[in-house]
Amino acid sequence: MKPWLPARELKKGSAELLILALVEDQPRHGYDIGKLIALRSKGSLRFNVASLYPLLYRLERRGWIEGRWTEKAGQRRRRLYRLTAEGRKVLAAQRTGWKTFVRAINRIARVES
Amino acid sequence: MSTWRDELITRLRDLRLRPEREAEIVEELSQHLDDRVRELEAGGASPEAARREALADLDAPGALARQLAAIEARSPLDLPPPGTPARGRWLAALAQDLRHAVAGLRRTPGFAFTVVTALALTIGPTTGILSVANWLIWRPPPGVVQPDRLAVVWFGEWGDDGSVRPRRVSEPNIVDLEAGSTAVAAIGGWQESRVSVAADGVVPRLVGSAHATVDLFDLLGVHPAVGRGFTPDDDQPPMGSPVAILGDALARGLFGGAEAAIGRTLDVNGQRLSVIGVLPPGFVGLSPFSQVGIWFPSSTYYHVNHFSETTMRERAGRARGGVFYTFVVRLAPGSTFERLQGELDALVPALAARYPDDNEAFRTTRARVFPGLGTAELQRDRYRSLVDRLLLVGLVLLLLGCANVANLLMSRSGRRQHDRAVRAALGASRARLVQLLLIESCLLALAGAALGVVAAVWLRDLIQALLLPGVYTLGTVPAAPIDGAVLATTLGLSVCTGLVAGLAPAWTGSDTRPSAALGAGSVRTSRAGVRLRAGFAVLQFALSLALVTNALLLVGTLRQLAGVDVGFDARGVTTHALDLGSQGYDAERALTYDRELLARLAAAPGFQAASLSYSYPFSIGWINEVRERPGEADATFSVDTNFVTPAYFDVLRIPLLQGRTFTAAEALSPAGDEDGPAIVDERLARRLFGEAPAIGRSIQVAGRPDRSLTVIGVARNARWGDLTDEPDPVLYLPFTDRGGYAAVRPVVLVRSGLSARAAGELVQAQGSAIDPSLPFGPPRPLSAAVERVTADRRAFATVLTLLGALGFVLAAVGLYGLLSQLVVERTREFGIRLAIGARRGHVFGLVLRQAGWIAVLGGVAGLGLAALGSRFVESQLFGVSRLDPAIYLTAALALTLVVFAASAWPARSATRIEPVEALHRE
Repeated sequence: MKPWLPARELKKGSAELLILALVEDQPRHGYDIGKLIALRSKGSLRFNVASLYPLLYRLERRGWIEGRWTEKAGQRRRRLYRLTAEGRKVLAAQRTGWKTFVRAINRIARVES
Repeated sequence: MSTWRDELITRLRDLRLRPEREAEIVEELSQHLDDRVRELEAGGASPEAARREALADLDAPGALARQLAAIEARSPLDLPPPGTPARGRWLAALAQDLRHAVAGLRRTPGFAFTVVTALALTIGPTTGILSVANWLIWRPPPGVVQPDRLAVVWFGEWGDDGSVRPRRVSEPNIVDLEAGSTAVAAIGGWQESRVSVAADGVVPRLVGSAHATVDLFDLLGVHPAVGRGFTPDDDQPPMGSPVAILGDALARGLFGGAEAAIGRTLDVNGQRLSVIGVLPPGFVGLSPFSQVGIWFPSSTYYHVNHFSETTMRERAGRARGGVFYTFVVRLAPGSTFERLQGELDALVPALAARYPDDNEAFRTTRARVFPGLGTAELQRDRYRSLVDRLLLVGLVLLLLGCANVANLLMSRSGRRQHDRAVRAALGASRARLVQLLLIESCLLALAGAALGVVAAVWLRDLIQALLLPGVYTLGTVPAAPIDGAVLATTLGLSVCTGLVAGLAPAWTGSDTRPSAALGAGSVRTSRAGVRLRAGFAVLQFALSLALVTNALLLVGTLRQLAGVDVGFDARGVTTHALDLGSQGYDAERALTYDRELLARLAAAPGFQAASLSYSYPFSIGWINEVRERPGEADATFSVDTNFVTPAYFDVLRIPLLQGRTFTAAEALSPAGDEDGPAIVDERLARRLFGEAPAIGRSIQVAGRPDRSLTVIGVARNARWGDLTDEPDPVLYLPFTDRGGYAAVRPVVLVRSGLSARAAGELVQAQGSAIDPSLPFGPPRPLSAAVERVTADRRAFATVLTLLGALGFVLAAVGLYGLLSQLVVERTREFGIRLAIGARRGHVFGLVLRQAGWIAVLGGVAGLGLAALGSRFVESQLFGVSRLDPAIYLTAALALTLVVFAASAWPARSATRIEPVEALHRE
């Protein structure tokens, strides 16, 4: 593990934002979401199956994302998650929240500048 | 994909998810794991290593099941996998079923409403009946400690018919009895009556009162909430101390509160008493009818009622003293009521033998023990039989309700067969399905009970007015309380109702062969189910018919009784009681007052006629013994006697057939002992003189000594106290006879055509003009006194009619539902019949025939039940046989009409079936 990795709590709080952001533009299935998180964080953020799906189900239950079984010819059916109208509002709010948070951390800890 | 399934299911099992949700999760996660394996293999891993790593992912930190547990809801039907031991799951299952039942009922509010209403209609009246039974029979006076160890003891000469001539027992005799008995722990005397009470700024009013020995409250375990109780010093003969203890309600009414009352004075019958204590709220005397507002020591009673001190001094001692003939006894520890009765049976005659001179009267006196406090002891049997009959009706009503609700539940049960088949297919056991259905019916029963109790509270006065018009009390009847005991019983009965009503539908409803029920698109009630529902309909009709038949027997009786000629005209006559004696009037002063009152009443506008008398028909009377033949000591017979002023016969419109009425001089002046005038009725004249003229003949009234009276008139027969028996002869004597006894306690009878209230105000106004401190008792129409005789019957007839009609309506609704369902189920059959040429009338007949069977079976069973039940009303019948065929026929006819009304509509809808449409259905 790399030393600067956020603590588990931070990861958990941010995970919701990450998932919501990933399904913002297009519906994705669970494996896709997990892989994209790992890819875009260059491997520093990883969700395994036991933590990703409970998270997805929780968001779905809250009505922020919606899962639907979709079938394409010649393929197994897959469950695709997309952002709901309410999820869109939550995402916007969380983005602002994170921006403020990160800026605050920076100002105090001078992490970047 | 299936390679992951077992791994996943093992990890998810503890979550007990709904099966379809579990399958979904398994599918989604399997895909994820497949993708993962594929990726790892693409990266060069061996299939085994890839699989191992994927599985490790699954068991990574925060194992899957734990994470999911917080998110995923459990299955609403908590089905244990086959083979799981049932222990420990029971309670959870119960909670589950409860939630499920609530949800189910919320989905079908119409059904729930119907069932709850039907239950409320059953449980409401039953609660009313229970509250009356509790009040009359079971409930001890509030605040009394260990009431089951108390008995009421009456002293008197007992007649064979249960009548009693009370005999007062003097203090020395009581002391001897108590000393000689091992069964008596304590004994206290008491008597209830009425006094007029006034306080500063409060007009005199009549209040229930009681005087008691000073230890009575200790004996009962009731202690004043404020102030002190009586002490022996308060009860020193002859006249006691001028002190009183108030009931809580009166203290509030007069002084605004219990504390405020202490030390205040009030005028009781014009005598000033001071308040020394106030009793705890709720305690108003020893019987359900008691409404005692004020208590005083036994000696004070004589002060309050203006007895002369000289007389009271003369009346002291073993022979003549004695205030009470009713006593409360607390049993000694370990003793029994039988032992108490046994001891008293020996001790009372022993007292007569020991003091032969003083206790002469004691030779014929016996003590009778009535275990427990409660309803007026001598009336207990009557009330008990009334309550028994009411409870029987309540039971019938509950059975009716059970049958009705069972029927409703079964009709719904049919509709939900598919739902249950799914559950059964998923592994729910039959016991579990029964439990679910029973919980549902119990829930409904509890809701019905809640509504029923609300209805009972709301209708309480009505129920009581309906059930208890025959109760005679000095004032109004206190309300029968709906207390914890009643509520607990109602609750228990409701749960029983729910279980009983739910059992049959639950059992037949749980018999679900999944394959059949799931396969068939249409829902079809099982034959057993139909037969059971038809059985419930039969039961309902039978019970309702039994109620209605007995109601009709009573209605017939009432018609017969209404036809009985009472011999006087009660319409327009009101009665107004007055107690001059308790207000300090002696006979002479009372007579002066009476004379003036009568003169004023005769002159006052608004009255057609007015009279004073000792009593009036159908109320308490005076009985004289008349000698069959003058001079013969043994042959006497009883005559009802009234003491009347001249206009009495005008007021009641009793014609005088021979002779004349009394003159004012005869009636309103002090009477001599010999040769007074007398008026006899036809029966008495015939009995004494046969066909010979009665006028001028002499009557000998037995007494010490005998009195000889001269007949001056013969009045037409008028009934005195009963509608059904052969009446006793009646003797009329001048108002002032018997040493002025009537004069100090007159009853004013006026014929006015005014309401009792208006007449009461006029009479009070005339009375107040002479002496403003004298309150008349509440005015009553004379017709009410006559009606009281039939009141039990009328109340019972009303109750039975209402409940029988209710039963018929509920049964009709049930039958309607059943037939409608059967018509729907047989649509195809009827369609075919019509298609191959059956006439519509024939189809109509087919449906009606099914109803006909129910009517015939219900009718036969119902008439049988009615014949059995009529034993309970037999004693109430008059002029109608308990098996009167005309009445049974009428009831059966009513049943036929109801059944026809309930089945006509379903039958008609069967004839409207379009064959083509019917055949295309399904």
